[in-house]
Amino acid sequence: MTVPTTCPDDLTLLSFAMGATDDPRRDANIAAHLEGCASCRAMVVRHRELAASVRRATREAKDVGGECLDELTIAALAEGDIAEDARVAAMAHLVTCASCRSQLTELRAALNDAEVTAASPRAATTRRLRPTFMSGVSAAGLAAAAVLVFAIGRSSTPRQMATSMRDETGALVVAPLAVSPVDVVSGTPVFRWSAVTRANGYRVRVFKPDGVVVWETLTSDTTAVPPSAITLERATRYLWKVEARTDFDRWVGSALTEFELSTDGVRP
Amino acid sequence: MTPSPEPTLDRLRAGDLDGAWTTFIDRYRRLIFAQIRRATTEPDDVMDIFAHVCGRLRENDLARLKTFAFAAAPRASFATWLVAVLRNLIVDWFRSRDGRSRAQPPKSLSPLGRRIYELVFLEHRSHREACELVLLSSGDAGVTPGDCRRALREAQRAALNGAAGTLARPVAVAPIAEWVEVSVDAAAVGEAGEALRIAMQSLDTVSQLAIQLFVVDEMPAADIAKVLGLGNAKTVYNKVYRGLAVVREALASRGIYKGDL
Repeated sequence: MTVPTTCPDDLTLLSFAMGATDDPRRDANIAAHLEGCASCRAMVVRHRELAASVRRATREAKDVGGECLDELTIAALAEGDIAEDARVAAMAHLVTCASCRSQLTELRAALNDAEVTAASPRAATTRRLRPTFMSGVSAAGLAAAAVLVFAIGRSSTPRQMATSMRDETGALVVAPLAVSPVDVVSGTPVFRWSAVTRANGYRVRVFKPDGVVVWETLTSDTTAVPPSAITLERATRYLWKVEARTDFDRWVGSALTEFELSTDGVRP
Repeated sequence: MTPSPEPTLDRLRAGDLDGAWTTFIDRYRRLIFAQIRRATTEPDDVMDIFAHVCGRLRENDLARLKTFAFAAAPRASFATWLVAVLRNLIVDWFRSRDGRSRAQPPKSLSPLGRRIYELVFLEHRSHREACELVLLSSGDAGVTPGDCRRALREAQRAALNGAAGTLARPVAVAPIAEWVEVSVDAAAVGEAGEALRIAMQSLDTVSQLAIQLFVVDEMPAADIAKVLGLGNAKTVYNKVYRGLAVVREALASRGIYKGDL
């Protein structure tokens, strides 16, 4: 690991202090720098102390201004596609309403979730999913079952329905989705993919275009970083895929995903 | 009428309710299950929630879906709006089952682990906030940041193992190594509270919201940029940095944190 000799800039220290760099290797570099730099260490502590106070003050704020946002507005905000006057009005409410902020944050997180993205109709038409029991259930049948549940009453039927369909739920194995790296990336690539229900391990493989495997690893996590001994060349196209092990010698794999390391050095 | 990219809406607008529902379930059942699984992985609960969601969406002749179909100017995509609706319906289901206090943490956890589990997985607090609350409330009980860190790991293991069957938030765990080293002085924080709120209110709305979303709600900077209509993540960092500097200065002028500034 290379310890930076020059101090990280203010915004980088802020991002690190808030745990927002999303880059474990970069975090490790900054942490190593902090060990020898009292000035940066003090700055990080100041950021965290102030952040703790902001969180506490925000928790204790009670006055909510205006009516809560409806789901149409929250969705438009989350997509960033909202008229400017509507955005201004929404923001005036959001600064006072922790509940609406929480909804917005959770919606953004859901939109960033690879499994949710993969399950949206547009994604479903472009990805091949393993045939499952659920995909074999006719839409009309599923709709009828859902209606029947409520027609008969919730006290007992939902449980019976859940029992009879539990195996279906378990059988709904969705392939992992390669999240990053994709296309051109800078710095050391961090391999990330969506979690697969019931997976007890993942195998990541990186290939050259001629099919030669340049790196392979097994992990139980949903991220992996190549060890320093593995040198990936810049401006060279690579392919990678991840496979989830869902049972003894049963694997379900992502599509092959291309990436290449840019020539512009490490990530700014 | 020009067909929209969403056939469910076309059928709804044409008054074909059965066709709209069939199309909707056919196209969106996977999305519904994916969203439910973000809240729970317990198979019985998944199916009960699915039934609850279907019932609520179907009631009053698909009134909820019509809200989107006939909105004056829906700008979000139908799928995004649906995810927002699903989130609320799922919360309703948990509340009707468990009450607002939600489920109990696993009994196998230590007392500190149970408290952390409650805060993180049942009350949706961030990891940092949960540990701050524990440290603030522990007083002289001698709980250290290291204890919090261990309790957080213990709680995360329990959640990942489905010990309580409920994952109230995704447990793709953020790094927890550094942040708990902050000293938490309850008196100083209490004294600063009102002054800090006033200082925050002196900021423009965008800066206030950027700080709240980034620091309190831990939304990624790139997402905040999209939500607030700012250029990119760096603009958000700048807003937050400058906003916090103003707040820090305001606190310093009142003699709070003056030793740090």
